[in-house]
Amino acid sequence: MVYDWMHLAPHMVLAGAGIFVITLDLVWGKLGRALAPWLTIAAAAAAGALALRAWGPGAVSWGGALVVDSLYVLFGLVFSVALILVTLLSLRYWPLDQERKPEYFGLLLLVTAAVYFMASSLDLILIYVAIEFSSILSYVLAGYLRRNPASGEAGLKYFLYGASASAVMLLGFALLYGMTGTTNLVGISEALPELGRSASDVGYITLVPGAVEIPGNWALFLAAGLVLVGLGYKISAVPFHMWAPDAYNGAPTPIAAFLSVASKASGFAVLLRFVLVLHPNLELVGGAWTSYVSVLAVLSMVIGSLIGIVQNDIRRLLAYSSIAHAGFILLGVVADTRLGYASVIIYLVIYAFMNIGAFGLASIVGHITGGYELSDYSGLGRRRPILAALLAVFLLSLAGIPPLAGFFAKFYVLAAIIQTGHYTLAVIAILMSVVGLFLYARVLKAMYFDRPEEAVPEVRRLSWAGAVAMVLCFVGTLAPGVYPQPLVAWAKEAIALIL
Amino acid sequence: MGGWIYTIAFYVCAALLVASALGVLLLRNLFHAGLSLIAALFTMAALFILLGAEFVAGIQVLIYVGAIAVLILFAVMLTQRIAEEKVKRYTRALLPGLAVALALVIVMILVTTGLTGYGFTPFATEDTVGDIGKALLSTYVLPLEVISLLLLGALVGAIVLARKEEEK
Repeated sequence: MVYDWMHLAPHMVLAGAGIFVITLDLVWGKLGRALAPWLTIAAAAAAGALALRAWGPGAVSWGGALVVDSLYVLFGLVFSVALILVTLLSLRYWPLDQERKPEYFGLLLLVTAAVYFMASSLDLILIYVAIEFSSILSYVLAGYLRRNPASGEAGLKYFLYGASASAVMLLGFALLYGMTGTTNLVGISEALPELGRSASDVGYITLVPGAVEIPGNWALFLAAGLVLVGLGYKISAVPFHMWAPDAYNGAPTPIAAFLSVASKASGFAVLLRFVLVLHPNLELVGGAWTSYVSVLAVLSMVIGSLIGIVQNDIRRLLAYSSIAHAGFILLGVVADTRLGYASVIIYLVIYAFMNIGAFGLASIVGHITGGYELSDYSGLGRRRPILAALLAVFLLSLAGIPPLAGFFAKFYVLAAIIQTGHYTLAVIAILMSVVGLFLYARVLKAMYFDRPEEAVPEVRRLSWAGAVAMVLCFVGTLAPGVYPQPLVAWAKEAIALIL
Repeated sequence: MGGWIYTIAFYVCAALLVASALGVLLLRNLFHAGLSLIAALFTMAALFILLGAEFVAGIQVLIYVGAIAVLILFAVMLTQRIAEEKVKRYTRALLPGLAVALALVIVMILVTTGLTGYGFTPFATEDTVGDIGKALLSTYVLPLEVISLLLLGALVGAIVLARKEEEK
């Protein structure tokens, strides 16, 4: 059996830095408080750089539980980027100043280690442990503001929802193990055809007796459905999205940014791992397994965009927008082609920058004015032209307006589903993009056309760290839009290496 | 073990489990409900023994009965007057709750009937503790280590959230 420590290097750097940051604070509080954010950023960068070494078709180690391949590398980079940006945003976010900072950064590092594990695990047990690891610490971070009841509510709701979803998912894992006798995804994939043959007598899934029957294996169909509940919660796809608006609303806004990007991406990492490893035998789930995913995708796009329109709190608005984006990203999985899977990665990389940008500005404006309502944004274009312009760029990119990167994210997903003939889905996606544009335009209107009823006072100053984070997000949102070829080629190569 | 003894033992345990689980839901005194929970967890352990999983049964008693249920009872007893408090048995969520429970039962039935005919037979093993130990330190050593990280993080998180206000 291979136990390759180098494969674990990024995970160990992150977890080690997390423990070090927490311990340093105990031993030497002053130094701990001063160093924590910088150690966090250094560890995130080091983990990303170490992960890069794993680029390739995949190396399995640690008893078949760990796999490092090109897919893991790209997801690892998204996690590292998210951690760095969120750390910069958290540095001077005032509600956090009243709480303990070193533990905050230590927990953030541990969550990032957990999502690294999620992206690189090949065994049901490790996948489950990693998902719980990231979820449990996320509940703590969402409820970190002890002086703010909304934050506690966010943590509690997130916890209750997450615990139920992961219990359901565990039932699915148990079923998979019961059918195949192994917890390893590769082993499960090899055992599935066996299952299909021996189940010839019950080879049809009867949804409505006598009417709706699909070729496939009942137990496997249920297992896949139960697993999809857990992953749907992680990526906040409708109908497993209910926690997201409340959690993003009450959590510290930088944490909301982290959850909406790293947590969502980690769910997609596990989903892609399942789909790509089980791919040769996935039709046993039921002939048209992609159509089940497409139901989630359509529901997410429609409900996320439509309910988002009536939100007046920018964090809730962005939460619904992130639900809609989960739907768009799922379309890449529905396409079930190399281009489709590559488009998922392209989308997530671009989404990381533009969404942290948007949440980051919500956090910065919240820091300066103390408010998160749309009315707090009225006249921002005149008061703070640069901040307003940046927010406009991120929102327009989220809406998918051409020269910006968000357009290419949507473009590749649409290209993938049109190539496979899903025209209805493509039409729904385009319609919902238009609705999404309306959603983001409400913020733009408030910033540039509304006059504030009373002067919005600025109670705190803009921090340089937040400004640096926003500039990085701006570059990340603009660069792939102007010159998308390297990212596209990279994502396509990552998928070609493993599928 | 004789087939019919096994069957009788199973149905006795199953009946006790259902009865004590209903007790948790329906007893109006929180302390009694807690005791009923302990009974439910014990019969669950007995079911594990019938399945030949002594180790899991032992862990079930140690952790669920020994730690979690007792902790719940302590919490009930240490909270002032909560033991005498009568809790409401029916809430507005009764109907949705029943619907979810019914759906779960249907899924369980479909799964158990759907699973027949597949070739996965439970493997008989003499030394379950030894096998689990070997598996934990070879194939599953990485998940084991990740769990230790998880516990550390959860502990830190719990302390941070529950600590007393600091003097400034």
